[in-house]
Amino acid sequence: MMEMYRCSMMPGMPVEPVRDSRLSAQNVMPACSTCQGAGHMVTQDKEALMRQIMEAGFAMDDVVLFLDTHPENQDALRYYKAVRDMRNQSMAAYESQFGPLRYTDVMSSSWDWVTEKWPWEGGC
Amino acid sequence: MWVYEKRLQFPVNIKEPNAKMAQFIMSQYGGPDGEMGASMRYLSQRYSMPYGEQKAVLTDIGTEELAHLEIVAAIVHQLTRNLTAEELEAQGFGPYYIDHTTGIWPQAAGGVPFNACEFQSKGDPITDLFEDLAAEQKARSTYDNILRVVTDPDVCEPIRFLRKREIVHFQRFGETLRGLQDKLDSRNFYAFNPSFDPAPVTARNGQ
Amino acid sequence: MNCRNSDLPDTAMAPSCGCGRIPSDISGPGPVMRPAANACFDGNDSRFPVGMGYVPMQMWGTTYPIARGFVRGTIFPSLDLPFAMGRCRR
Repeated sequence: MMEMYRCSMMPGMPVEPVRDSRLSAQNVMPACSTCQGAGHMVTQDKEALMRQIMEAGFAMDDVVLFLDTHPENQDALRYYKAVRDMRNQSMAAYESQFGPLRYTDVMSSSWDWVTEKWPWEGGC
Repeated sequence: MWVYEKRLQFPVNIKEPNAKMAQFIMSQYGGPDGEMGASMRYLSQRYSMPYGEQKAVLTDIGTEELAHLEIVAAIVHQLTRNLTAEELEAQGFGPYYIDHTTGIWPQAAGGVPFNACEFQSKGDPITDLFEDLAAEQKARSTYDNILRVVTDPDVCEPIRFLRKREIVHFQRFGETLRGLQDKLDSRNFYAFNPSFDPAPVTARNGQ
Repeated sequence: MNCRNSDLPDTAMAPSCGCGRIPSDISGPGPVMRPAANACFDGNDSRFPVGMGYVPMQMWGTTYPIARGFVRGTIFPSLDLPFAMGRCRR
């Protein structure tokens, strides 16, 4: 199964590969050669996907506050759209494999909103 | 309205319980300068803000503070998990344990329950924004105090994150105030309360 | 040294603050602050009348890579102001 490095950088910035010892060296490739900065956040690892969601989601949270006080700033708006799309892609990838993150996104044949671990419980 | 995402804004994975630290950190849940006060303050003040920019900032920072409330609760919950009553009592958590076991309840480290006196919503946007600037500094100082006594890196990481957010919020409230100032007459910012009074007629304004 | 004292007499010759005011004394605890060179943020500046407080507007600039911004608690290097007195083991 091919695993791809996350493109964690914004358009125009140098590529920063993800170093994660849980990914085997034989079947990883950098995502930036194909993603043009938009990021194909495809990985089978649940924790890594959640990390991507948190990182892109946080970048979005921070730039949203900047935009609230600088609503005309086009650089910030471009940045917002890029990280917003990264976050949305990561969330879609996570939810399709590991269950809903919002109760609007329950897809399975049972109400798995109640069955997954809740966020304050921490890691295993 | 609010949408809940089933994740923390920053992860909390604490391997070693420490009820003494939990007693201190719970001040950022229900204490005078904690996240519950912050979120209630901003979400309450937003209704009397006169312009969209201020309403947006108070809504968005107020919402982020709810996410921080959740992180603080997760820290306190994980720090008091899997301890016996004897261990809790030995670690200085006895009085809280008697009334709440290891449940989460909003109070200050010293025991004062959370209450609305811990924030103001004055209905005057200049006043409210200065209250908010002060609130962010008070929260930052509280996190400074926590960082002086915490040695566990699993706890330091989310605490450092939360502290950094207070600095960013301070900057945003300052910018929000600048935006409000731009809409007012700089010859006298205090001529009227834009949330309540009709704008003064400039022609007869000799004072 | 900073030029915040707008109530000092306008007799100073020192040009280092750029506005004709005497630099204020920097005695007191804490680290020495960098001077705000040529800043005239005082009562003569009609953009910032007295009796009010002002926070400078942040300008957009290069942000941290998102993985770094996440652990630092902000994507903005200019707001990454850590606490130096912590006792963490790491």
